[in-house]
Amino acid sequence: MSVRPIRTSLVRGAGAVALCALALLGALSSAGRAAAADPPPIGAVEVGALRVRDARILAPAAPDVAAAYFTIENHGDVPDALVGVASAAAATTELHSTVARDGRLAMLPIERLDIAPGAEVTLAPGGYHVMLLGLHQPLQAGDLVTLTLYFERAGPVTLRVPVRPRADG
Amino acid sequence: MKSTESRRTLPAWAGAALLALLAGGLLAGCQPVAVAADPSSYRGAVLTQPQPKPDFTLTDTSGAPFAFRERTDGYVTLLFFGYTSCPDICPLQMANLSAALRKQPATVQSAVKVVFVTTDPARDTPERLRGWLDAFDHDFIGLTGSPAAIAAVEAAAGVAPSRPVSRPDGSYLVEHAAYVIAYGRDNYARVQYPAGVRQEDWAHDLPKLVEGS
Repeated sequence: MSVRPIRTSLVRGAGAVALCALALLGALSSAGRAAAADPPPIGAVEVGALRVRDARILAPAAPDVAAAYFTIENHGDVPDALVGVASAAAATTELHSTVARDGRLAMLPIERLDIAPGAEVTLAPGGYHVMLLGLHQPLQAGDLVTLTLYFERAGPVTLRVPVRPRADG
Repeated sequence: MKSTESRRTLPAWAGAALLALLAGGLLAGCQPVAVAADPSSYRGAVLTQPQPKPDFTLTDTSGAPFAFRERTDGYVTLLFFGYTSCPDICPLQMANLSAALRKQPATVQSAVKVVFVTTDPARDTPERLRGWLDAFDHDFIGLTGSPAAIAAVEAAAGVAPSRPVSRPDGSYLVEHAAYVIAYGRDNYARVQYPAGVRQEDWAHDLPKLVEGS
């Protein structure tokens, strides 16, 4: 977990260097400009051989805690894994699994979530989720939360996760 | 020595195998019986022994004492232990229950009381509890008390005691029993609803809980 900030800053650093290089060279790569200018996609995103879809946060009843859910499809020929999550919307962002133990339910942080080639992994209520603890402001249906996912092979990808009414499940 | 070891090893293996056979046999034998006992009945987990509704008093979200058995007497009473900083299971259970309850006829709705007992009294003030429950249903009852009082209620209701688990950042999560206990109008619980229960399961069972007891 302590590596996450380092990873984040490395990624940001690389982005800043890339931007500077673009500016200095006056490069007019449309791909580069689009990546710099466009806000992250909403609800679904692709990175490498992975597709993340159905991303959502169910409108939380608590002002400071929420959970994000999504499905990851691996269309590649090699395994990949979700190894980190980050969001500026909360003090703590963690990948969790809800598990039963000793007659209780516990939420355990998990270090990685493997996605086999050709397989998909679903984060859903009652199972895997991204826990957002210490939200900086309460969330309501219609809000968008920017979330960055770090994949072992495909690398980082950022998307905006819509907050949906609870009734949607 | 060697023969002793092998003698020890053999019974151990044999014991394990016997256990596995027994467990398999028990599971295979019990499951159809449990289903056959009442196939058209509840989708929740039916208890082998009805459990009496516990008698306790905690504090409600208005700060007033709430005598649980007395105030819920004659109602189908759905009792749940949880906490408002729980991001996944607690809101899931409450949301499914409230959504299903809202779709029931008034006769069913008015016969059901939902009681949420916090397992995190340090953070779940009455105000916070009320605000959280109102996101689901204004009529849901929220109860709090001292950690000792809540532990006593958990024991009386027969659920595993909740326990706070510290996190590296200084915050904590609370492990807790996450099933809803359904007491009938006769003040006996016969059914429990684990975390995976869906709205359609509630929709199926709520009228039965009201009619059946």
